[in-house]
Amino acid sequence: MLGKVKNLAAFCLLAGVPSYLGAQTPEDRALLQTLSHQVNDLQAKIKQLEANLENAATRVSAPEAKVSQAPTLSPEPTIIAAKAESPSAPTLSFHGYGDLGFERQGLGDGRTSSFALGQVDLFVTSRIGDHFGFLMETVLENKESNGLSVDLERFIFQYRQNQYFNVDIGRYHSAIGYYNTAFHHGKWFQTAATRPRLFNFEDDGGVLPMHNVGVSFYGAVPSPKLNLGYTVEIGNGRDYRTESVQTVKDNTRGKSINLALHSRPSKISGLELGASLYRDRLNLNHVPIAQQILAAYGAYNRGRLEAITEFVGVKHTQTTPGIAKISTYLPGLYTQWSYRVSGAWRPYFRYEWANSSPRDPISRGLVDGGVLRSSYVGGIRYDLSEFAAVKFESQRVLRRNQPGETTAEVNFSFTF
Amino acid sequence: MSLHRISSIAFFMIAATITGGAKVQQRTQVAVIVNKLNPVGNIEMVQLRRLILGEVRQWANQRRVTIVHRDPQSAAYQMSLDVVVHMTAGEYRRFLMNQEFRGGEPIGSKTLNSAKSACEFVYNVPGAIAVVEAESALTPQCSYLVKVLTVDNKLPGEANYSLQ
Repeated sequence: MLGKVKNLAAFCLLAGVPSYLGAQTPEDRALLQTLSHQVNDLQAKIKQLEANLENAATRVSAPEAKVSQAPTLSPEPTIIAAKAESPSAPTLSFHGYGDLGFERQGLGDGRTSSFALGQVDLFVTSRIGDHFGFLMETVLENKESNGLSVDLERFIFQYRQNQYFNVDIGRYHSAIGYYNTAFHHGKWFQTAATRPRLFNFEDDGGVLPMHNVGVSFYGAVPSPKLNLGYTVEIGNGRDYRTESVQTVKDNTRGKSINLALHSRPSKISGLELGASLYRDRLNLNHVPIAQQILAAYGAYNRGRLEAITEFVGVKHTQTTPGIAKISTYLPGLYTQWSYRVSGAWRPYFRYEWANSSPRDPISRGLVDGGVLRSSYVGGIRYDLSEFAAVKFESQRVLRRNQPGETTAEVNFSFTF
Repeated sequence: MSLHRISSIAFFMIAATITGGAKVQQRTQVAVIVNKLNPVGNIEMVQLRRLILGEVRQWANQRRVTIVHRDPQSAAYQMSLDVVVHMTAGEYRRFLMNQEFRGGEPIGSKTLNSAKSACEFVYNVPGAIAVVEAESALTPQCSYLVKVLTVDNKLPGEANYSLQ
């Protein structure tokens, strides 16, 4: 555009000069004056366009220019706010996680060796305002029946006021203990190939309400030395008649409540201590059951060393009218240790123990419920790249009144 | 091929890689720089770790923390991970991604390919903090623009300086 304007100006000048040389009449002088004005106007426009072009170029390369310019002797800093500018439309962030491998499991004639697809985890977040956000995690899960299921694992509308007060509404992972909120579905994040059995998800025979639908308040508590944090969750709770989470309809009138508190002491970087208390009233085939879950943990992650120890106590109290209250207990714990021995190698070991009563109305209907005594898990993780890992893992599972079972697996997990 | 033989082969492959994979890294000295408007003059290693891991997101003056990293191949970046957060580059990246996966706010960070660029960025962004090569940070061109923090009350070059 600028070139065209320049050409036009040059043409006008060339056209005007011969006329000027021979100009004698008043009409010629008038024409000359008109042409002269036009040339002046064009020159002014050219200058303006050049200035605009320079400004535009400066704006486009401003962020890079700021870091590449040589420092001046009398600097006046250009203050750049770290806060991102509000986008014209919500921005979407997408990550995917997947895993697959080879497994050998089962007892006696039922022992099998199989290549096995794991989960495909589609994780989406979006900022939809200064204080609002959205998070969705959808998992395509391959089942042992060789079928495929699609689960909306997390679906959260977030409100972030400040570091002290935040609200999540939707389907979230319950803040019971440490593992369930530290590691979600993407296996690539967790050191081991498998989750501790106590923290298995509902559709894997887990006994705890790992997911919940409701509202969660969380944030920090002003405490410079202890760095305390709190979580308060109010939700539908779990329906133990099925594997599914009560996403639309709660089969009881009451709501589950979970209170959690954690501390990250400022003097011991990497250490986190916490405890939580979960309460709900269940309705299992018209039998009201009060559920209480107490969890306490210590987790230490200093990069090379990772250590997690958790204790969980579950109490179920049946209150059938006309019959004395019956209480059953399920205490359980696990401790997992790993240590990076070389750049990408991380051996790990986990011991798990649980002991529930066969009379427990909830756990007896679940996989491992009421029969699991202990398991020993050993393995090694190798990071193939920054975004992929392979884990070799073996487990020895001991159940009450059953022969021990040894399983082994190779698992590849990655993000994309 | 039996599982036992597969396990044996896997074990020897792992052992060979572990023993052969250890690298001898050259150590350099790095400095921590912040904007001159930042009231902080000294930082403890524990605090620096919490900043780099995103556990602390605001300065005392309410400015939002922006972590400035040197490029992943640089000695300063390797040092900041190795000595400060005790993680490999892969572990650190996984840690940052897990922050977001857990529903947290992503950490504000910027990666720049030279110490000079990092100095100029920190000079322009009041909440920025960078770990850069000490020899670059102490040049007049950089130290004139930004503040070099003492780490555990020691400056780069002093005895028992932590970041070396």
